[in-house]
Amino acid sequence: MGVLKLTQIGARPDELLDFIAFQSSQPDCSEALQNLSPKTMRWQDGVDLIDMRACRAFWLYSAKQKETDLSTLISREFEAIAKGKDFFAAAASTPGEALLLLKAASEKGFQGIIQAESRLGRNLLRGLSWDVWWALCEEYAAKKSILPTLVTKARHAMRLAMQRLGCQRPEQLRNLPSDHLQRRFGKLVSEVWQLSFPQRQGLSEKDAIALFPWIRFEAEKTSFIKRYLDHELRDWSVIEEILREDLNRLCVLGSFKKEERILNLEWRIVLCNLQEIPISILFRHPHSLHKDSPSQRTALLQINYMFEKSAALRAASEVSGLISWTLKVVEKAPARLRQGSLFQESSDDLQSLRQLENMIKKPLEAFALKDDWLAEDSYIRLSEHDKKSIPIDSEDYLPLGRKRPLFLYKQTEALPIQSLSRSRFGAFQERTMDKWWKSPQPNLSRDYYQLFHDETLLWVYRDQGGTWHTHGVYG
Amino acid sequence: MDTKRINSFEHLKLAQRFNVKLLSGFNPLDTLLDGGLQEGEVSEWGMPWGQGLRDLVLPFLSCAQRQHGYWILWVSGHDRVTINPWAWHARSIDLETIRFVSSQDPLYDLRQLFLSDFFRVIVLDQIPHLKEEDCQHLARHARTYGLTILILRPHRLTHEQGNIWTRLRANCFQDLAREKITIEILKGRAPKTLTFSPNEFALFRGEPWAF
Repeated sequence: MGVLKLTQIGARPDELLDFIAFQSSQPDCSEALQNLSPKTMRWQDGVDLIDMRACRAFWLYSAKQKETDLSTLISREFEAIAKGKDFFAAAASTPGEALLLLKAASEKGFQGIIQAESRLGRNLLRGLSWDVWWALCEEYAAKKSILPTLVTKARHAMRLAMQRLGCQRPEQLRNLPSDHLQRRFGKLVSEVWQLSFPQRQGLSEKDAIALFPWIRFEAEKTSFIKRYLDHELRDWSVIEEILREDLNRLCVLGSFKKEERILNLEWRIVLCNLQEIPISILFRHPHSLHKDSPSQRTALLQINYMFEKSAALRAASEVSGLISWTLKVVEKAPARLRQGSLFQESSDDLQSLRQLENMIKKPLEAFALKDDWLAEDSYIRLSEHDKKSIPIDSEDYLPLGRKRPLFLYKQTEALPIQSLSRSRFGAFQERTMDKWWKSPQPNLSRDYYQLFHDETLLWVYRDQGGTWHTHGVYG
Repeated sequence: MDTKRINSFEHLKLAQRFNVKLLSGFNPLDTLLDGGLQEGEVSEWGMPWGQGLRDLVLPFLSCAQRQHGYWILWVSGHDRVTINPWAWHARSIDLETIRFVSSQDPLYDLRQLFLSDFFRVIVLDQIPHLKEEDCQHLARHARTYGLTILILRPHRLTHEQGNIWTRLRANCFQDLAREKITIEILKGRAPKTLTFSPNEFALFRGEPWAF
């Protein structure tokens, strides 16, 4: 007889949502939380946000090794940080939703991790009170340095309006467009509304994350090197040598451990006219300065690319040279996460590839297959942090793949009728159902043909309206 | 790491080590190429864009992945297109060990990749402004690290505009009206011409040719 575990319905146990809001009565948890991910934010005293996207691969791997699910594993980590089970945590795909869920869970006294997509999470969000929502507004206003009087005014006006409407919970109005709220109650209310119900407001996850006022938590002990130059420098070859020296000096700082790897380095330069220019050096994969010592080739190549990329900086430094700079480790993977599995270092090939990718100017692209009948939706572009293959269950689309072209146009373009007279049609290829429910101009099917047009063999389709579109090209 | 020192060292010590030939598995083509593409060489192919001719290159890449476990890099100078992974997968390309990048100036953007033997097969597809001195660098890196570099040009190559740095030069073109694919060797192998129908090549790949 099977036992149904109700808490897991709605969210797969091996899936951890991107952001976790964490609340504990233990003081100074912020630094300890960086053991979970290098990207954290202190929202207010006792409440922190964790961006789990950077270390998803590691935690998934750890959960698999320990034969447990991700939620249990993270829960254990939280128990260690909170020194017991006295903590609240909420996981959601955007930071705003995670905070709301945390507040709701804390109000109702549900301790432990709650996922926004679980049944409990959904119910908590549905039953959210106006008081909880306004508490989030106040915190948001504090983060954005908005005057408390403005918040009080907006709250009063909205309370009266909601009383008139008989609306007892924010959930009842979740479909209300944020611009309507902005007109009546101001920008603050509109923004928090969007962060609270991003899907209903038509915001993508990416947009909702971008809208959130994320301020990265920085530990008090940051590793940095300050350099005062004897005379102004303009020439990269000279700058490079001194920078190499500074990067090696960073490696011997007590605050920067040998096992730690950098993700983001800031090179803040000061020009002769005392203009300060910060240059952010982002590494595609966590990079070990210690291992690359003394040549520091990887870091210097990336600094050089950024230096050359910024035309304004180059022009400014040519007019007045550099007189000093600060080199600071802004983001690093903590030592605790530096286990062989985090960056899949057990595989020599992938380790070498990551090292090479850190050295080049352009990112390499990797693709994985997806079971989907439409060519444009039949693959996943693997991100820099997630270059692992995704197994597909079937090879059903193999026959289609054989007939389809090697290259697809990034943008499908309509083919003018006049140009068809100069073209020669080849064989009919396939009839495919279009995803009419996703398109603003619904189209039920696509009929694909080969078309020889201007000495190029194209893969074109005709929609139901008779319009021809170029979709791919036979390389 | 002192690259110059290693280059000269490797150049002397490893130049003779690369004896692998990449086969396509399509017998007439392998015979024409005297047993396939030699490792450590740069080859130049006149291959007009948009005629389905890049399909001829993929069997070599598939062989490199499956028989030798090599990683492949495909550099495209065409920025309006992206790849169709299912089509590559259906043509026996292992997507796990191939990487794609779009670059107009790969020798600058991807310099470190040419100074390493990680990607043993590199295809430079329609890279504009790839000059003779660039080919000189490519030939040196190919020799040093045992890379097989294929330069695919969007136009037909001629004897008049030679390229001393490439060991093999060949033209591929397709006569769509007469349904014929022709491969013509200009340099590096016996100056022969191979003509076959797309159907023959499709049969080799185990699929029907549609056009």
